[in-house]
Amino acid sequence: MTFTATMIVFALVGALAFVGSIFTVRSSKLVHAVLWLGVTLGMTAILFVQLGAPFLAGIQLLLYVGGVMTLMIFGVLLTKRDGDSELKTEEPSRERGALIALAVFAVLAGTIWLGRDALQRTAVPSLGTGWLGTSLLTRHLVAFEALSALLLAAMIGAIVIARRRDPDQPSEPKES
Amino acid sequence: MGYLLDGLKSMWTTALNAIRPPFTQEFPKVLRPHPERYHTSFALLHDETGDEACTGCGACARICPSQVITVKLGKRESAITQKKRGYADDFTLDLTACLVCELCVQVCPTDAIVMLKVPELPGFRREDLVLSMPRLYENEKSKPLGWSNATKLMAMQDPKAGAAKPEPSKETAPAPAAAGAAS
Amino acid sequence: MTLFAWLSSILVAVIVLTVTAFGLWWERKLAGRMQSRLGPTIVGPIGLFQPIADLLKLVQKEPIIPQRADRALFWLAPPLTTLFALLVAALVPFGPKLAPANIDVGVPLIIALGGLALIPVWMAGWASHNKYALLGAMRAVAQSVSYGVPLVLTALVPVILAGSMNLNSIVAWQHRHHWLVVWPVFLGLPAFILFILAMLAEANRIPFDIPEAESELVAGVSTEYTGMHFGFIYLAEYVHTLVGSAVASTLFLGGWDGPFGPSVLWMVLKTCLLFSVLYWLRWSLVRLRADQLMALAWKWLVPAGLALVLLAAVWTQTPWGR
Repeated sequence: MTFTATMIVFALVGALAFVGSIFTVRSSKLVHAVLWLGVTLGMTAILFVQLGAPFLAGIQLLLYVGGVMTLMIFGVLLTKRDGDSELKTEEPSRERGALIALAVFAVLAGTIWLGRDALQRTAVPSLGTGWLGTSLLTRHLVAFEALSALLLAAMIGAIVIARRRDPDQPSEPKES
Repeated sequence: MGYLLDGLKSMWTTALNAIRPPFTQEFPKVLRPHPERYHTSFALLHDETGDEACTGCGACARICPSQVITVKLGKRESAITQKKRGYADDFTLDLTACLVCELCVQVCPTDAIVMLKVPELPGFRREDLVLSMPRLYENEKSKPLGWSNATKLMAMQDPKAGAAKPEPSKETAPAPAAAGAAS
Repeated sequence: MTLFAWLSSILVAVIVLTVTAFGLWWERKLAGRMQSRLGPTIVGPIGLFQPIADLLKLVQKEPIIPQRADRALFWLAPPLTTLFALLVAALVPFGPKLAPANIDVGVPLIIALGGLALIPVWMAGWASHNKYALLGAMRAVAQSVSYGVPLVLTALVPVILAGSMNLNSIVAWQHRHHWLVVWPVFLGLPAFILFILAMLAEANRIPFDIPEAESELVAGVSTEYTGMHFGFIYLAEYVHTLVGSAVASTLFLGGWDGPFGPSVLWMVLKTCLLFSVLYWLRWSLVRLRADQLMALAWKWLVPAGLALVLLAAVWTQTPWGR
């Protein structure tokens, strides 16, 4: 087995993603955990590029590293600053979490192991962004639109929850 | 909307400014013309016999509002006129705290201290702006002296004599060479 | 990677860094003239070596870390700001062949990386353990999130019209048809202006520089930084504006397309011109308040961007837009 540059990059990036996920869970500071999560998500984006899906990588960066990270940052900034206090997980939930993680890992590993022949035989189709867009708006139109409706509903719900106030209190003064 | 209009207006102003010649004059290269009685630094003078004019009386040191002048009085025989008289054994003027009020020039009974038309150049140490006696006598020789001395200023205060006319000066701006020599 | 790819990458990096160094001098000179001053004159002929002197001064200075700062993040954040700003430059085509990363998803990737540039800024603000820095960081996050939306929408206009997300293809399309600000002018010009506004806000420049509003927040995110750390943050802002101008000229001003001569020169010329206009804006306009900033983004830029995207989609279906 020879080592190509691609494999070395894959190994490095994969290792970084792994380390990042470990530190995301183990960091005692909330901010560090968020930033390590960012490392993991960014490395995943690079893995997508290596797998021949640059569009997915771009979206991963845009939505997950850019968007989700930003939302978490908002969460950290808008809540009380406890940068100096240590986060600790209680013992029972730590064990439960480990069990669930192991179960997920077993399912994933089992799936890959069972499908290893199919994986080796099938060449990865190199389909461009155009194909993705066309198939989303033709073959998978119903699923696509259902997802949009779901997101819209979630957004409206979030706004309703955020705007709910005491009926006694007068509403906010109008913006001049 | 108001912001947009004001923004456009200020952009027009800045664009005009960029085309107009700049207002700045580069100071050490280009010197602005000074007024007749412009005065900055100091010099000590010699009298008509060639002796040091300062008698070490210390009137300047006493009147100085920020007390930057120190005079040490000494009495000895003059090397030129053979008369016993007062001398300044030591004379120090600290320009770092000087107000440039010219009071020391006004009170001097022998017109010994006068001011200069050119500034001392900035230095890198505090000591560069402390004028010792040798430096003050050196200034007399190397730099253009200012208009005023005690006699002229006293005459200006005399209601009978009328105001003293400043000498018509040919030199409006000090020569850059003199400013350079001060370093 | 082929040898040519390596060479073009190096060439683009050299171009960007040279223009940045030159841009520092040019900005100070321009700012001086706009305020009836002279700008730098002492270091080198007409002050041309001033950026080098500035750099040497910054490098010599002592890096001071506040006692309660988060040391690792405090050290890491400033170089990362510059790195993320420079990363975008790799995606911009400087010529038909001179495109270091000529990939199909150029536009979303550029916007994604521009949004990422926010994270080190936030890191810097948070790690400083200073209330002004934290306020600045918070404003930067809020601003970047709001202006990312119109940025994406306006960048979609050239994508829809050219039918590609590859920056080089967009320029090639403009080469075959018209520059986007020329025709269709009713789509290209408003989209261009909105893109510039959103890009300025994303790069935290005047008139959208509320994250470092000097009159309110000392220096915002960079309050606690000294020496070269401050230099990195400062440099990142310049590079961000410069690369933003390059992206805007690629998307709307025809990129490397020019009537004669080498294409690289046209690209650099357009970028520098746009850069100068941005600095003209900078020295003319006053800072918006935070609420005005949000109102502008959500009440004007986002609806206008949506309308432009819709119009562009309709235009491609008309006989003239094909």
